[in-house]
Amino acid sequence: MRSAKTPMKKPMIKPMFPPDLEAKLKVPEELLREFIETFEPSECADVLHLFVDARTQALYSECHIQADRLIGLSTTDVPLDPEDQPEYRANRDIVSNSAAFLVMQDDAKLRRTFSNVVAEFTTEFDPDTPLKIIGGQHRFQAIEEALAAGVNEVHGIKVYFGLTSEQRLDAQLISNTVIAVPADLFDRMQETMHGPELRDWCQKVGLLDKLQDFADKRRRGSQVTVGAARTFILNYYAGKAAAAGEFSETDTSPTICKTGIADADWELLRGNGKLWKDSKLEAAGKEFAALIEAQRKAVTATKKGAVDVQEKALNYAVLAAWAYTAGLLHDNSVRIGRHFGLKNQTGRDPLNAAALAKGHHQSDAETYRGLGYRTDAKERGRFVELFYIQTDKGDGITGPLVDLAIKKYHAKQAVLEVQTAQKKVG
Amino acid sequence: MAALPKFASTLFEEAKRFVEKATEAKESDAKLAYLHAGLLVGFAAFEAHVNAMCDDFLSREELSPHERGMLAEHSVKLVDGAFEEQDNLQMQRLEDRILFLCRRFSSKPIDRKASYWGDFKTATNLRNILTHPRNDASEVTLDGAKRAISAIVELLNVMYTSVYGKKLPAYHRQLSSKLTF
Repeated sequence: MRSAKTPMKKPMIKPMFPPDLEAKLKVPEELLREFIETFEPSECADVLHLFVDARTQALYSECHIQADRLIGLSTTDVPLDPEDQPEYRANRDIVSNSAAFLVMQDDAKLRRTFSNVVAEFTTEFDPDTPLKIIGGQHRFQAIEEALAAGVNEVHGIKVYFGLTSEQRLDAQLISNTVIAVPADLFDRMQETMHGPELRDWCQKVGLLDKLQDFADKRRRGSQVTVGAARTFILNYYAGKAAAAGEFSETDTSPTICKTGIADADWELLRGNGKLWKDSKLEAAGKEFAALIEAQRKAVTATKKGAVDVQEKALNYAVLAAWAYTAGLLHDNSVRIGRHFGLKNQTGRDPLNAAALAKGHHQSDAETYRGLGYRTDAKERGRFVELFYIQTDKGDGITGPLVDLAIKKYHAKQAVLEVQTAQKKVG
Repeated sequence: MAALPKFASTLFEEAKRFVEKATEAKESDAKLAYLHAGLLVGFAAFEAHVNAMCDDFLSREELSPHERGMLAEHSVKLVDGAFEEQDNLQMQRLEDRILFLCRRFSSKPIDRKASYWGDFKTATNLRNILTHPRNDASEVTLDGAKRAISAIVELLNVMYTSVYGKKLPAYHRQLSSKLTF
């Protein structure tokens, strides 16, 4: 290891590119020199190898940096898209109570040398901390705490240079696979990479507070996830598309957006760009946000099972079916008014969770707990029937209405199945 | 659960329990009484299940008056040149309602050559010994009652699979009752 007092020798930067990529890649010499001067990695006495991830053509180097220099000039507070959405973070929160992390903290204080902390060197934003930690933030924090306790070891760093947004997202994903990336965090990162529109829309309609980002993991009582927002919009349009058909002859089963991987339907819908200016969708979003709030406020928090009832509107079956029904009724001012009016029920919670819980069908498994606990296709379809027939009168959800909705759902499924079989026969 | 299906399930558990009690009973009179109870309540449970299934399809508005009449066991009359369902009971043969349900609302109608149908007919004949007592009611044996309840379970399972695309929820328990009285 080079002593901090030794005059720095100008190291050789040696690209290690595959022959087929050599012509395509340009070494960011100036950026590398700046990195070397700032961090003085152990390798600067000799050769600093520059590699390329041929999958994304992202350039990186593997080197070693003294903890005091690393900590003082780095940050884990890194935006995924620093140009257009600088206020939203890609890193997940530190899981401070994880057993693995506690061991990591103790090890660091016992002079553990860590490796493969992943970072990007850039001075384009936040120049005071030019090294942006994009993977291994738990290790980074352990190193920081150890340094505060007087432990100053050398640690292995993988440093990227000159990343594009796509390369940055990719680097974050691959560097977080040691501790699996929750599907909701993946979705959030994906959505951030695509642009701020979904988040802006959710903030506009009240599904998110101002400047609030999507939840990185689905939890009761927390803000909506990207998956929930996508599911809402996808089903609104699915319902709208189904509006032309006869309700009793149409398969009105909502879907749930794929999470943790790209959803082709969402990509297609998002791609047309018109949805952000759809005033009816926006109205539906605002009404649903109001329903969530009304459901939360209607239930006394101290009651047993209250949290579950309070969060009933965010059950994915409820959310998907409510949005689907809103789309289905988008051109029917009377019925849509009744649908939106569900939130105004007085004397009980708008979704009447108690009546939902008594909703069973004779074909349900004996372990079935009643409507509103599951999110499968059957549950979603039952909720569409319920929300739809609720708009016959708009008197709210009652036990008999729940029973009727369940009957109607199963009768419709059987009839549709017969129709499908008949079509096959010709 | 809606009252009817829940009651149907309870009745069925009671029927199975009566047959279990018949197995446990030492006295021949008690054994026979439990068998009679098991058989009759078993058929009542079966009819209740069929009624609950019919009830589902009465929510369909496109059904003709005759179809509604079959499902609801209501009479149908010609009024002003059009058929109308009346609010009067007109009993239908249980077998007809089963065949209608699985023909009209499923792509897999009942196979009347299948063993489950033959077993159900045998079970019905056994039940008829009690409800039309021309024969000796002591002909009801433990083995016969068990076969009858099994036949009901099998037929109900066929109907559920055919109409709802799902097994009868209690199918996995076969003749074991949830009740412990």
